[in-house]
Amino acid sequence: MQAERKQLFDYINRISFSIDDLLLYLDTHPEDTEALAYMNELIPCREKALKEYQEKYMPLLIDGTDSENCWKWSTTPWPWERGYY
Amino acid sequence: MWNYEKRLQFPVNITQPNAQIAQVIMSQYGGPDGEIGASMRYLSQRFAMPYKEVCAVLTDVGTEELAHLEMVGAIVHQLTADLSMEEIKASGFDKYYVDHTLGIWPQAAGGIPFNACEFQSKGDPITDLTEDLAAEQKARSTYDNILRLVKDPDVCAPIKFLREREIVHFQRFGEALRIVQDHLDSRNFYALNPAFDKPC
Repeated sequence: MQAERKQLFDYINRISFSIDDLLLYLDTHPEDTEALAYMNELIPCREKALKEYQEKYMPLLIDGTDSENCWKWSTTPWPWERGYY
Repeated sequence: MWNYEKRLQFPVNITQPNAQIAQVIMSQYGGPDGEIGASMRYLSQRFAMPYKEVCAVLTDVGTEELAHLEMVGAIVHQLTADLSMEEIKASGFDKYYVDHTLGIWPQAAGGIPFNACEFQSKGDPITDLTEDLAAEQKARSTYDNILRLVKDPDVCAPIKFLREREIVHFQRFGEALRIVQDHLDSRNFYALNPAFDKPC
């Protein structure tokens, strides 16, 4: 269970970083169709992983989850704590 | 505006406290070539920048620097968590501790507080981007210096990540400077300031 959670969290970090890096490249190469196609491939994969993580564990985005009984944004750990995932 | 994402750009998980190394790494939080200065520099320079693609680079690199600021804060926080009074005294961290306890505050390793004179927003695209190129290299050198002092792999991993990002940002700012020059007169790039003078 914990291993599965960490694996999904690591995947979100990795795919998000690919997007961060590609974003800067596209800023100065806005007409590179190969890079654009790669970006369009990455974005839905990140969205899917974020959705799964937030539904199973806790919010990573303010609008990422519906907290019916508790506002989990403020009651779950913060990223600067050791062993955060 | 900005939205917060509740994760670090690269994970930080340090189990072995080390107040002496914390004091050195703190310089990349609020020192002369630190992440707060980097972020404020790029985000401030955007307003006078006349070219859209260059505004994109300044916005997105400036935003990433905020994520780096958070990572450096997390590194310093985890390196100083659970310290005993003896360790605080022995490591020389007592001079920081007396003013800030274990709180994170932007200062250089030598104790000089962060101030806005550590960066410029000159309102001239060539001048600003040339400063940005130098800033990325200065930060890269600082991370190289940190890596010569640090042995703990848990600390080295995020520092190496941050160092690599300086090199990528340098590359992107080089391209941004080229974009600016492509808009100017190649016989004299300095004939006018495109952020201020009206082209004839």
